[in-house]
Amino acid sequence: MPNPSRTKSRMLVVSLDGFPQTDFEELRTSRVFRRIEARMSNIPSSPMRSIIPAVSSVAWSTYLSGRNPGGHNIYGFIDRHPATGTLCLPNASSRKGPAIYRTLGSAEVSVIMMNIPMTYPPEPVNGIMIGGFLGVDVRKIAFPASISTELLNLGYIIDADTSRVREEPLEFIEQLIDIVRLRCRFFRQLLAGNPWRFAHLHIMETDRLFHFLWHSFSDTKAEMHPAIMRFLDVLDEEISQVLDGIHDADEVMIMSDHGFCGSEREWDINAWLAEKGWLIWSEESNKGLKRIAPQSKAFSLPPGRIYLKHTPPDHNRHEMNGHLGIDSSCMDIIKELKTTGAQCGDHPIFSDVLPGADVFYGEYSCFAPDIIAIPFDGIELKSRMEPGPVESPSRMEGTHTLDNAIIWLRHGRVVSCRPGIIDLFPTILSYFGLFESGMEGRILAAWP
Amino acid sequence: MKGYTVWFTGLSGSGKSALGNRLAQEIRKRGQPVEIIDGDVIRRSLSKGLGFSKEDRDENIRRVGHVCSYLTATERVAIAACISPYASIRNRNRDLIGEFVEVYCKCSVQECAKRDPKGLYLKAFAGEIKGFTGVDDPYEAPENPEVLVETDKETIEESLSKIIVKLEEMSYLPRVDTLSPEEEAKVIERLENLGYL
Repeated sequence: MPNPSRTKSRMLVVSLDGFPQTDFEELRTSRVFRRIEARMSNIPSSPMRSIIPAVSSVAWSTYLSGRNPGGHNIYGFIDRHPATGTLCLPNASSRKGPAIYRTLGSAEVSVIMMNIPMTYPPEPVNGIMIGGFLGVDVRKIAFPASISTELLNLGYIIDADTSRVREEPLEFIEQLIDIVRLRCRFFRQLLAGNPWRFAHLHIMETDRLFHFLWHSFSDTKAEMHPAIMRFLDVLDEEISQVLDGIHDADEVMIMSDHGFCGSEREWDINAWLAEKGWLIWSEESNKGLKRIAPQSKAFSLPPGRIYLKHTPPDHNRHEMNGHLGIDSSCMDIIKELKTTGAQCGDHPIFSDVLPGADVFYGEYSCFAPDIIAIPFDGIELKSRMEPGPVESPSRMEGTHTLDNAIIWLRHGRVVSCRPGIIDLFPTILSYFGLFESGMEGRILAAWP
Repeated sequence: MKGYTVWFTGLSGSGKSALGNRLAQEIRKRGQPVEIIDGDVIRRSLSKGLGFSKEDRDENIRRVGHVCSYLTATERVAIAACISPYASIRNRNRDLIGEFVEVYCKCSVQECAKRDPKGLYLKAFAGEIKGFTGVDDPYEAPENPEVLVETDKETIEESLSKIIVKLEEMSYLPRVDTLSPEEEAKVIERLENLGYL
């Protein structure tokens, strides 16, 4: 039952995709984020752990459901279709378990959700839902549909065009600025013109910036650094204006879903499996999973997921069974990955390699990988569906980290040590007096 | 699929038919066969000749319930939009049909009279129609409907969303999913460009 003392409360979440907490704190203390800081508390933000594997689709599914991937069934941007065994792209419809907006909506907490990854296609909610990353069509991006029409008329862009970043980095940064301005302006209008008690605005553009221009972000002497600082200044200005549109008593949570760091190298697990004889490529004309010959014993999907083939070879179907527990092949691959060849310079490729059964649990853990490899910071794990080198220079400047995401509250206090993104679901529900025991995460905060 | 009945109840002019029609569109889009049983249409056909005494009203709703029960049992979706003012016959239909979702369209008499699409309230207030529900005949509001929509306070979109959310929660309605092949190609291109694949 809702706690009566919380029935009038409101909470706003602003998320900055992939923003590392240490860099965020540096920018806050050096007054780059001075406007936001003036509207938040003096207590610094806290570092937060993402979820394994640390990619947006998985992290946001965990935020939205309060479950690990074994409970929400999203293990990456690409997966095997459980019925056909072919590659498929999971989206909001594939996500299982409760959704925070549903749980809140059922308790008469009206919501406004904008641009959160893995919310496309948008669902009917008690309020407004504008889908985010992996959404492709503005005409279908929102519930109610009338919002999509408004966005279409405004020239709304779901995600930045990254096809020419390397040739035109300045144009790219200008594009990010325009997207952030338009998104924040529209969100402010939604907050002002609609009833809400829980609102969430997601900024995807930070992730895009860090992927393509991490070096220019971290190197103050880089040619593009001033333009990036301008982007961050606009971000500060726009978010602070969002905060100006709400009440002082409203709770605010600023957070990110994973950390970021410079990318040193790419390491292709499928190429390594092929080198070791675990994976055999089929004819070049085959695409997707069919590129993996039936006699293969293992293959990988990004990021760092390894599946063992347990079924007899079947040329027609290429069916891959789900997780079947830990067997000797699994342990052999783990051992080899941890030792032979898995070194990059003076540090290992992996910070850990674990059986999937040790990491994923819940109703959908049958679809979990048999092995999950967690890269050392700076290593980008690839799982290309074609022969190639195991190690290669990074195409991207920045890559995700499992740790160093942000959680920062305006009135509440983070009281839990080692907070994780899985804890945000129960934490938000606790704010509205809706926490129920039995959730996977913990309540991170004490509310005044 | 499992058949089910969505039963709209509420005063005349409370939005039952409008919501029922919108809901039917959404259900069809999601691939389920759906039939609308509108109170006004039934009164001109299946229940032609019945009056507005309690007995006749109950008989009318019993007949609608029977049709819904048949549709539900044959794995279709029945949407009934009838005033159905008496709780006892609604509950009897609930028991008969089993897979039953009651939607109460709550709307004040004043607001219904303001809308008055059929000009009936005007006549009822003028005494030209006797036994008009909400004016000089009772309406027994459901105590525990699966969905309560307040059509004098909500937009039709908001009310519709409440119903859809409930039908999805009760696993009657499948969620919209899958991208078109063109959309999939765009997503793959974007993921490759971002280095995720």
